[in-house]
Amino acid sequence: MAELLQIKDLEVSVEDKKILKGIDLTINKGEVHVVMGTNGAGKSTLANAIMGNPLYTVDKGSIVFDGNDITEDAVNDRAKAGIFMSFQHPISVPGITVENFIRTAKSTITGENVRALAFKKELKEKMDELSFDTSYAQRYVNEGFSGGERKKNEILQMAILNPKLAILDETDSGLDVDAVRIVSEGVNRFHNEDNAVLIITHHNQILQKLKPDFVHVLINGKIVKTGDASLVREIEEKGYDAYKALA
Amino acid sequence: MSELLFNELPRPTFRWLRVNHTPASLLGESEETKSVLVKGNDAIISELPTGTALINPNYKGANDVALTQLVNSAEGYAVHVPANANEIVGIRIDAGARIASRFQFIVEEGANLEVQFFLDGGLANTTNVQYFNEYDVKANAKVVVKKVNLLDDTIQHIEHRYTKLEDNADVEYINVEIGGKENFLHYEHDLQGQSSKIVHDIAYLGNKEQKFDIAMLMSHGGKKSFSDIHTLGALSDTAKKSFRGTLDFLRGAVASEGAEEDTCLLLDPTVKSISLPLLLCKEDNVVGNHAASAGQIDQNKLFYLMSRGFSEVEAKHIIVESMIRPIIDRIGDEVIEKAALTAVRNKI
Repeated sequence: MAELLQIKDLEVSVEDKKILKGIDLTINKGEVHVVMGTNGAGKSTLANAIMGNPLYTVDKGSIVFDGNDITEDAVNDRAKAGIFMSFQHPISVPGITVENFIRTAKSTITGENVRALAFKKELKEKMDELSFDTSYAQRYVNEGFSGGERKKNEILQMAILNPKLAILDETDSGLDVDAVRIVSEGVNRFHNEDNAVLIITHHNQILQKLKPDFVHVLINGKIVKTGDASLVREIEEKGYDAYKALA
Repeated sequence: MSELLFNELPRPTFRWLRVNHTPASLLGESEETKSVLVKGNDAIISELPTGTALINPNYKGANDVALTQLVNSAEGYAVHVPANANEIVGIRIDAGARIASRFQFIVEEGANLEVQFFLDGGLANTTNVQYFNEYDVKANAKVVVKKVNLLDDTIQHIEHRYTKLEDNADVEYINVEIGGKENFLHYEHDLQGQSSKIVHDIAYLGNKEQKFDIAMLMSHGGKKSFSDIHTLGALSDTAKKSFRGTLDFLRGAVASEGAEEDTCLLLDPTVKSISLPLLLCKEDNVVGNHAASAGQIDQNKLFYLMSRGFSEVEAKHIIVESMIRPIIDRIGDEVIEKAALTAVRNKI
């Protein structure tokens, strides 16, 4: 399989505090990876570092995406290269409607004019698939949305922007069972042989519908164990304490 | 004219803070010319003769000298909406000359009035646009005023506005303040009536050396009266904004509620934002809330937008526009909304 993302010896700090302490991770096209770990282990830091959040400083190592070293690239350049991050806490953008926001984002990322009628049709289809009330297309982005609606909006953006790598940072947190199912189905529809998904989570609810190829256990800034989907059950049975000694 | 003190606080604070008023001179030539277009039902619009008495003779405006001079020299328009009528009035001020005008609205019981107030234009030389709006809103009447200021950056813009609200009167004011070199806006709203209600939202966007000097007094006299002030905007370059908001609960304003909030986005370290929320209270059973915030662009918001492909500059534009857009969207006139949005986009 073609290599999509290669992270080598990545060390990242936030406000001079070292969070990631040497991460190696390779993701190929067509794969679903899951990073699990305790609170504060560095899972969201990994997601932010890949997306290029300037509040996170890369002290060492490299991030290569689709054959290009993006370690120093700006956030928007990474988005244009094909990386998408679904936020744990999506922000609201009052004054800009969901439809206008996603259409403008798509036009910016693809560099092409997105025609209004075709876009409206695509948006409606994707919203229907997510059981997302289509009237929300005319509401301001995330303004007055519930937690579940914000997460659906993230998955909607992912579906339309169609990135090569989708990073889902705690997308399942705060969602009820039905919302987790809808979001999982949305990710399944998106996933194909030409893209990849990196799921950051600390519980397994979202993994009941998504079948990962690789599961990584992140403890104290290091990946201490990598395995297949069976590792999820092992974590469930043993808890994270069993892996702390490996960090 | 010599220096005048504009927008004085109703109760001065420490002098060394230098916030009790704003000193300024009236700019431009002394010749006064009318260039005002008023559209609406002719039956309710008439001339307002020079020197017509004020609805509230004690109202001082942004500066009493300037207001007195205006009242004694300027002609204007009287709008009288009969009881239970529904009317829309459009006013356009084209600042192609110095403007001094006056508008007096009397809205009888149960009537509905919407006023669309649009200002644009200007001259190569600095000049002065000054006007006085008075609203006498009778019981159960409703007034909505939507004002958009797209004046050129040569204009000294002074608005005096007084509102009297009787029982159950309901007033909504929306200001979009984008133009003007110096803007002195003085609003005094007198909630005399029981259960009277007023909401006043102001969006502003300042750049270069623009000034927005806003004073607002909500005077609660009636029982269960309600007021809400919200000013929000962004400043760049060396622009300056002063907000003096006062909630004054008078004796008898039992169970009244007032709130004021001032939010300012500072896009450059060279801008200046002053916020003075003041609460005055002579009545026990009232609720007064105030909040003020001034800060730079939220880095998390910037990251979110950039993660959707927008460059840093584009993301900042979206953030500024997204602040002001919800208020522009309430104007309700597509052409004016578009003009306001274009002006916003040209400035950021």
